[in-house]
Amino acid sequence: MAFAPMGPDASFFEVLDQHRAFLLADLRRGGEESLRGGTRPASSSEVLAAIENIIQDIIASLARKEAPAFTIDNRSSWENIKFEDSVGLQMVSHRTTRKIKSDSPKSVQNFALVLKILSMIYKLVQSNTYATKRDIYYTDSQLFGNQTVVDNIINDISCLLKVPRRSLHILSTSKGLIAGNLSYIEEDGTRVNCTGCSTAVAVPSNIQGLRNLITDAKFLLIVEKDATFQRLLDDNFCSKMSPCIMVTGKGVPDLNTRLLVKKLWDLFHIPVFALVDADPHGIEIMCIYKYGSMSMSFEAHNLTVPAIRWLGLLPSDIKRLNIPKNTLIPLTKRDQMKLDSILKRPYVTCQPFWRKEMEIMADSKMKAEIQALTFISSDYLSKVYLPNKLKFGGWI
Amino acid sequence: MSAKLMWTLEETSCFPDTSGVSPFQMIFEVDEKHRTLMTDCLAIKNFLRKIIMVHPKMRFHFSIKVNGTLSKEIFGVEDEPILNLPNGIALVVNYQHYISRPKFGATELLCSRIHPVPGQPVTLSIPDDVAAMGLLGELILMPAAALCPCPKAFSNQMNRISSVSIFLYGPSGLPLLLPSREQPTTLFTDISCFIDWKKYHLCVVPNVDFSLDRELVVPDVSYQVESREGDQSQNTDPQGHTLLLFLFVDFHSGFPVQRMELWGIHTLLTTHLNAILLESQRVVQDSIQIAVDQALEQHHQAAKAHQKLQAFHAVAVNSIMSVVTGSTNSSFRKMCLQAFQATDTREFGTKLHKAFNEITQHRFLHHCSCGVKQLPAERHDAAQSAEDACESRSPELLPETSAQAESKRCKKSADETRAFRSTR
Repeated sequence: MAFAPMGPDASFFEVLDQHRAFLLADLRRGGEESLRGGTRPASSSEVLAAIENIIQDIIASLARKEAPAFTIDNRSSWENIKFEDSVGLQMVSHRTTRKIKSDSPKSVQNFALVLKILSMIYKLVQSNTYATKRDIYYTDSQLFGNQTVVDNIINDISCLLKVPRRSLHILSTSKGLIAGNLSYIEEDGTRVNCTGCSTAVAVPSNIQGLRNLITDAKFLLIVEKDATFQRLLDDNFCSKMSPCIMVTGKGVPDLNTRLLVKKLWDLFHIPVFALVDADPHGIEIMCIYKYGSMSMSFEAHNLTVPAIRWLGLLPSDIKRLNIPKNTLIPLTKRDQMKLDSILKRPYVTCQPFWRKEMEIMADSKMKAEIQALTFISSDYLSKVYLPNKLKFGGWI
Repeated sequence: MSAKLMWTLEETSCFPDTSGVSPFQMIFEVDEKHRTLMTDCLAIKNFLRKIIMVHPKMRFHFSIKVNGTLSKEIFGVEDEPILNLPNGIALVVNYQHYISRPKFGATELLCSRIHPVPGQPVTLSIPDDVAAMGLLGELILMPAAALCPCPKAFSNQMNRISSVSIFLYGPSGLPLLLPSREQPTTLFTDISCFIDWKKYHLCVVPNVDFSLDRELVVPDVSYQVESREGDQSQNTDPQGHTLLLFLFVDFHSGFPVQRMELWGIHTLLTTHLNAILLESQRVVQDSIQIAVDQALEQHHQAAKAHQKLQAFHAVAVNSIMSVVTGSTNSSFRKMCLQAFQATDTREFGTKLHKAFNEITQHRFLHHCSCGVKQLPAERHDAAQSAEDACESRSPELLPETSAQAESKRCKKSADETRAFRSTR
């Protein structure tokens, strides 16, 4: 490290070190499981062959005078998702599928767009070039209609070919930021040193291509919101808690931010904490990092970090810290529905403390943003709340 | 037509009553002049055809002796699909009675039925002067509209409506003969007072080119669709769809009507139909418009769905071609070409496009149950009626997940039909 700011005494990290030891032991016990399954990076020739196979199947159907269709794993139903503590949400082996038919007015658009994007991927892979999802959308924005259509079809193709998006030569524009004790070399040779930077560094778009990642961090803090992340940077949190790493996905994380968190965990096995609003949306975002999402469950092995712990803001903190009621926000009907839905998810049974916190929220019918802590003092979060939680193990 | 129709009162004495058949006799007075006679005969035959379209159980034995030569012809339908309309009329729905077989290239006929959509029955006001002539009671009009042939049948020609045919029926499903074909009532000269053609971007002009010399039911009034407003590309196309509009006028006096009385009412209606319909122009327009709207909505939906399929199949074809032509894998390219027995990628592209068109057609054939089965008219029951009614209301062209909705619609339709009958 070129520059290592002075952090707290070594004794400060005792509980953190113990937690890390526990995680490592846990990893040794069930770690092998997490290496199984999931999609694996595919070579260019494998991707080309997979696309050619699909085209051949379509042509064979047409030659038999049968309407071709794509059969894709159904990723919108919990029935197809299983929960495994060591992996998170993943698809069951005998899953239900859905058909994208070519002879139905309802699905013909999707059928054609899958083929359209497949043909684009074929060219990208052939020429060893990359395109973002946005690039693809703009090749024919009128045909695609909107970006979400393209995003969903790319996920479908990834699931159909059983290869990660990166192998499809499709990148997503990173919106995440990273700061703290970390240096690495990007695929193109660019050296990046986040340590000592007062500003954050954008999460690279090619996580698989990162090399020589170096860190002494004692922990990784995932911050839900950019505003909180920036506030912590302004308060020199990374220096005061050095060595540590901070990451934000600016809300719902993109694929690269999730891949980066996963990569850092896989490489260094440092404790990972989540700092999110005490509301259902914040919990949902934390769950995406920890357990994954239904829509990307086919790639859970590459994306989830089940070791993530909930550091704050806990609903129980609201009462404990006497946060006044006028800084709280009543749960909306949508919040309550989201909370109910999270409480029903399979992973909540493995998290009794999480359940308790969510029940506190449900009972109080109130939610709180991290900014609610500024009522106590403007730098309470960085000076008191987080250091205390980290020092005394206030995570669940 | 100069032929004059009379009903005999001695119908049962003319033919022996066997096996539940109730024969009766109609006698037409015709001119002896040969040319007039032949025209009148054609008109009579058309009259009989019109009757059997709504009385499929009837058989007409038509005999004519000219200069000692006797010619005989039987008019009737056998084993043909029919649709029970809510007013109790059983309408024959085989398209071949209404238009001659279209020639849409090599396309096979996929649905042989029309799917009439009934409008709301409306009570017609009877003008005082007509009532004074003895038309005391209630006149009820029920329109039914259908596209012919079925929009599902010729999916590649769905955009055009080339003509409109109107069939008029009086009480008991007897054809209403307009006073003179050369001089149709003013009402039917300008049908726009009943149908808002602008809504459908259509422009219609009366068609006076009637040909009785065909084995089709000739409409009482016919129009040509000249062109779409604002679309000069659509010229009159004899191969387009025909919008069939059936207008059924029924009479209720509250008392049983004698046959001769009925014939009097029929004659009055024939003479004064114009005045009667104009008297209730608003309600008639609404009722007809609903039926036409629904019939054309099916057409519109079918056309939209087909256009969508075609547009996205083109995207699919281009995408497949892009992969095949861009591939450096010779065995892959070879397999693709072999599958279609194509010698080069150009031929492969043509055959690929054709294959997508064929699977669309196949889908129509596979799902279009309306054109497959034929039920004997004698076995026609409420269930079939409901099924037919259901088909006629199906708004979407072969929707992917419409089975349940379709079933519900069938049930609803059947219920509606029963409810309507129970109030009669």
